[in-house]
Amino acid sequence: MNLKQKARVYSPWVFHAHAGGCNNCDIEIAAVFSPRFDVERMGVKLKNNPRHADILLVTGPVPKQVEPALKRIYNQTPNPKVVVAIGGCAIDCGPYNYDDAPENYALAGPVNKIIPVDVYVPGCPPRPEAIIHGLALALECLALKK
Amino acid sequence: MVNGMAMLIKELLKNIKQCITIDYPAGTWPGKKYSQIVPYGRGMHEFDEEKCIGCGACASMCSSKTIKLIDEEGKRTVSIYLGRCIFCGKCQDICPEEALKLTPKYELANINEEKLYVKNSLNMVKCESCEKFIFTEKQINTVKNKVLENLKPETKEKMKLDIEKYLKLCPDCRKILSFKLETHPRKLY
Ligand code: SF4
Ligand code: SF4
Repeated sequence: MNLKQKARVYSPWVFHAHAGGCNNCDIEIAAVFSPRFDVERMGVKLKNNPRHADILLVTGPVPKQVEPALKRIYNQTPNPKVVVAIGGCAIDCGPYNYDDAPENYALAGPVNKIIPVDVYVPGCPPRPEAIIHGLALALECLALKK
Repeated sequence: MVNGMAMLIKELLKNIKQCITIDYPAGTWPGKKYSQIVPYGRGMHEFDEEKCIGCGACASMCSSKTIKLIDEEGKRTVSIYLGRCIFCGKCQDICPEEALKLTPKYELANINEEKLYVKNSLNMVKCESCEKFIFTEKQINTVKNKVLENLKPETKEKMKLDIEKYLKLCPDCRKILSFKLETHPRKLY
C-alpha cells in the first residue's frame, strides 16, 4: 500500500445518496455519525459533495426520476470508489416490489441494476452497528482498489 | 457570560465521568456495558435442521415474502433471502416445530449478494400412483403422528392403515383412489 492509498483508507470521506425510500435508513445513517455510535473514530467523515467522496452510501429503491441523478453522482465521484447499498430497498426494492405483484411502474430497479455495488448491508432498517460493519467492509474493498 | 461558561464547564465535567460512545465490536448486553445488542434481539435466522419439516408455514406467513420453498430433484429447499427480510419474527412465531429462530447476530453485510441466503434442504417422497414428488418425509411422519395422537383408541386401529395409504398419494390421486380406503363413507353404510 503506498502513501496515497494509506491516507485514503485511514480517512475515507463518505457521501450519502438518498434514492427514494421511506427515510428510515437515512435516520440510521444519521445515528451512525452521532456521538453514540461515532463512526468518526474510524476516520470516516460525512461530506456534502460527491466530488470529495471515496464511499457512496445509497439508500432506497431508486425511482425513475432519481435514476439519472444517481448515475451522475456515481460519475462525479473520483476513482477509486466504493458503493454501499444500505437496506432492503437498495438491495432488492423491498416493499416497493413483490415477485407476485405486477411490476412497479415508478421504479428503475434496485441499485445494482444502475451502478455496480460493492457491499450489501441487509436490514429494514439495518442497525447502526450493522452499518458500521458495512463501512468496515467497504474500507477493505477500498484498500484493494487502485 | 461568565456564569454561562461556568455552567458549561460544570456540564462537561459531569459528562466526562459517563461514557456516551458504545463499544464496537460489541458483545451482547449483560457482558459488555457499553453495547446495545441485547440477547433477545432479532438478527440472522438459524434453522434447527433436525426439527424443520419443510411444511412452508413460515413461507406463507412471511410479511415481506422473502421465504421461498424451492422443489427440485427430490429436494425441498426452504430459502430465506436476508436482503428483503425485515426481521419481524413472524416466521419464528408461526413455526409449528419451533425449528426457526432469530439469533442476535446483526453483522450481516457482505460483498457477495449470493451469501445473503439462509437455506435448509430436505428429502421429498414420490406419490405412489403417479410418481410425482409431493411432500417431505418428515412432514408425512409428523402429520401421521399428530393425527393418530388425537384419535380415540377404537378408531385408531382402523384409521392407521388408511392414513398410511392416504399420505403417500398426491392430492389429485387421493380424489381418484379414495374408494380404496377402508373408511370411505360409502363402505360404512
Ligand atoms: S422452519 Fe418451521 S414453518 Fe418453516 S418449513 Fe420448517 S417447520 Fe415449517
Ligand atoms: S423475520 Fe419476518 S420478514 Fe424476515 S423471514 Fe421471518 S417473517 Fe419474513
